[in-house]
Amino acid sequence: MIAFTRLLEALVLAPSAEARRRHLVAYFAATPDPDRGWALALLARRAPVKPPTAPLIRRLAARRLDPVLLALAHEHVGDLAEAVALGWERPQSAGDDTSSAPGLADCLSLLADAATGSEGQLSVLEALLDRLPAGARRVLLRLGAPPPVGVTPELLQEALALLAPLRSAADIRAIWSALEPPFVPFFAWLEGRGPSPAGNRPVGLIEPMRAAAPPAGEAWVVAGGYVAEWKLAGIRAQLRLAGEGGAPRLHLMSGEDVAPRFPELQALPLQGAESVVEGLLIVRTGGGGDLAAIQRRLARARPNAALLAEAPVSFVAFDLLWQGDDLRALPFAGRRQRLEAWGRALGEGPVEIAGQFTLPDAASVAALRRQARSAGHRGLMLKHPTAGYGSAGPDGGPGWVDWPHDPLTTRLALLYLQRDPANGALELTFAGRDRDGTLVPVCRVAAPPEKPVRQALEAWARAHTVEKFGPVRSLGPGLGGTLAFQSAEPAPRRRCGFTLSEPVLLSLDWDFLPQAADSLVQIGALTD
Amino acid sequence: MKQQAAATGDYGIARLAGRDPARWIYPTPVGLYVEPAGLYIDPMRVAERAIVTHGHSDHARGGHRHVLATPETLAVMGVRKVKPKSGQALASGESVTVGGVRISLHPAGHVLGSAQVRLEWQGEVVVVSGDYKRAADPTCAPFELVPCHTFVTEATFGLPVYRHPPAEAEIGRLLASLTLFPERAHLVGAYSLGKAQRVIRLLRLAGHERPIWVHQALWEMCALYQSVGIDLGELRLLADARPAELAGEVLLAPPNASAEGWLAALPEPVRAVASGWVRVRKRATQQGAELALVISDHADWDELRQTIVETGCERLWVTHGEEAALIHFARQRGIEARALSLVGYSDGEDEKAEAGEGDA
Repeated sequence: MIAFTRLLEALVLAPSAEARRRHLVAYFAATPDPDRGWALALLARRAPVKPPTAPLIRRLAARRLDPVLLALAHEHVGDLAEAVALGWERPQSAGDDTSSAPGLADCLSLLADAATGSEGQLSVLEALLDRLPAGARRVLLRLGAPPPVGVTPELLQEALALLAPLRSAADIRAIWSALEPPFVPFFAWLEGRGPSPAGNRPVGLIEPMRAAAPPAGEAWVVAGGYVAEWKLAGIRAQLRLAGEGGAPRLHLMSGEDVAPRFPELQALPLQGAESVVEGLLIVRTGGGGDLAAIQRRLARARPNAALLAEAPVSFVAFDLLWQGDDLRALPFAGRRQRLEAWGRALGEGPVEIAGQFTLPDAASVAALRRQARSAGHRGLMLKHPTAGYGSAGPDGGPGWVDWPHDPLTTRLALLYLQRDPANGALELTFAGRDRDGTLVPVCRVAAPPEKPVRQALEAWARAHTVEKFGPVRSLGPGLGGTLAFQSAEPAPRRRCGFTLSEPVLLSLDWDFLPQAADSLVQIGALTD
Repeated sequence: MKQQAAATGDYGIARLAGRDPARWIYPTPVGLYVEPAGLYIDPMRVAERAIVTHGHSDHARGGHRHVLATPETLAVMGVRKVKPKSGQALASGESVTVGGVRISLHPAGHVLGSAQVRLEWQGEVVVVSGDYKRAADPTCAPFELVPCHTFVTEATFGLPVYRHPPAEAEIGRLLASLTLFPERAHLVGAYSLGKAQRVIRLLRLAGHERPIWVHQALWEMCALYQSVGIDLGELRLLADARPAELAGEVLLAPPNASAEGWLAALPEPVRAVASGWVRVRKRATQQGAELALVISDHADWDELRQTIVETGCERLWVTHGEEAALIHFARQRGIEARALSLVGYSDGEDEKAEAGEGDA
């Protein structure tokens, strides 16, 4: 617990991904199993533990702390869990000796074994708080809370790859979702002491193929002999259908298995051989997909009947990676043939096979791009018929090219800044003008990751706060930004009337007049 | 024997419940005034006669005519260019009598030369602690417990959330960071009097033998510490360094020196801050530091409580800091407690930045 506390404190303050990686590597190298595995589970949000609720913490405090002192401490610190953790009165006998403090795995197993009901939890927490120094007490009362900013599954995978040069981050990602905390066989495999915890079958996410960026101009398309697919407004995923029964798995690119969220896909007729199909999860609206609706579906672990009726999901398959055997080395044209056969066998249902277009001349390329935008797709995916799955891209040989629409840009005024008190993440809400010139929120984006920029933003926000609503600051005029986005999707329940897809903050304008913000009508018109 | 006395509450001095020392010692806009002796303790404005508890700028202002202080504090005032017109050195444990008030100074364990002031008048004993701590510090004399009727305490960290870990463990974290980032300079922000020298001395005791690079503003104070026999090892002036030399080295500078040009030239230093405040997460992240070392020159919550109880005082006066919690604690123990509300002593980061140095 002491080592994990140090790691978390270092990660919170670390200014760069490089610093975070180094702290992680040092921790994983120095910490024995199963503590390091539980730490990994907590950082990857895979540990089955939830932080104590505020009422539980209040009852915990009432067992030990003077109410007047707690109120003063809470006011000073601003966070109840931290005030209780730091202000905890340990028994006189507890010294500063940290060598007898319980480990992370001990803490988690004591919490897991606690009698059900809050009394049992309270007694275990109380006993643990007595045995831990201040910083570790703070960690204990937040076990299961989101990890510090910048600690992503990708960063964890990179750090683990650095820990043991035997395995690459891609190797780790490939089996990521098949792993169970505390990952003891995983660390053994990582360090070359044991077999792959995944065995010899496709488990979890197969390392996804990356699409290259398009070269300049358009001549390369026809010359290259590419075929095209719509870049649908959906979420990329891999669907695995086990041959001998077993529930289908559905892996997002993060490695997460989201199959239980999509009962539509649970009912698929089972195929002969184990197969892995890649495609897009979409909710159809006319021709295109409704991104907001698919996000709604993803957010719901167990969708109710109303949501299933309102946002039925289709899986648009575009590649077949595994069918009894690894197909990735086959050229795309060959995989496509087998995919079509696979689709025919499946028949009508929630799984479709992606449409494909040939591009004989420049005019057809231009027409297809126009059509993509007007149909509400996000652009085109170009694929080379000879490319194996995983091949590089246009310059490094035949592959995939991700050809989005030329992005649209808009200038908006900064209206709110929100700081997540748990991990310090900053989110910016930008607004456009309605008919009366009032600023109306349009989209929320993450603040730029660079620390100086974030600090400048926070300093500016402190000086220009009009009102505070909890962690949200409403800001006065003066700061705006230019944002790029792919399209404006209609969203009747939002005040501005649309949702910007894939908004990206291009630049901040520190000398911005609110009158300079684009009007909602202008923005809405950009995609029509 | 003293331990025994603490347990029974018997200090060999008569109980004086009911007599309020405010008859003869009381706060004024200038500072705490000892009327029979005609002098102020740590006056915030220029005074004719003053006792100075220690050399931090918010306690040792310049311009006083006569100052009574420990020899070390007078030396510190000299380095800080706030030398009084006449200074009278009073060694720890010795006493002088002024206007019938018997005055003696006793180590406070805060910084080099820091002292508590014991005042005895007509059988009543008042101890003005100044700033103090109980934790071990290899750069100054340890705190001496002085039994009294009225204890005048600071309360900088007078909240239960502030419990300082052992400073040695925090130094261990600094050394661990040097191992983890051997190519980066480690810049520690620390006040020029006390904190900086304590960090250096603790590094030396932990076996760190490399030269330590210090900012100009710390140089003379470090030299003073060396001259009284506190071994700080090899120090070098930061201004003389080439950036490449600083990789993997420890650098010390005042906390407000960070914006200076030479610093901007450093490639990606690990910024560390040494302060009791960074125990609280919000304060730590606000510092913009990568390494938050919880090292303080002030008593933490446990030490404040322990000291109040051990002095056996009947009255507690709280000078500056987080008074409310400490007063609540004292009243629960049957000690009559109140805040003196002395203005001018720094207790927050903002004031300290202004004072240029101070206490945390």
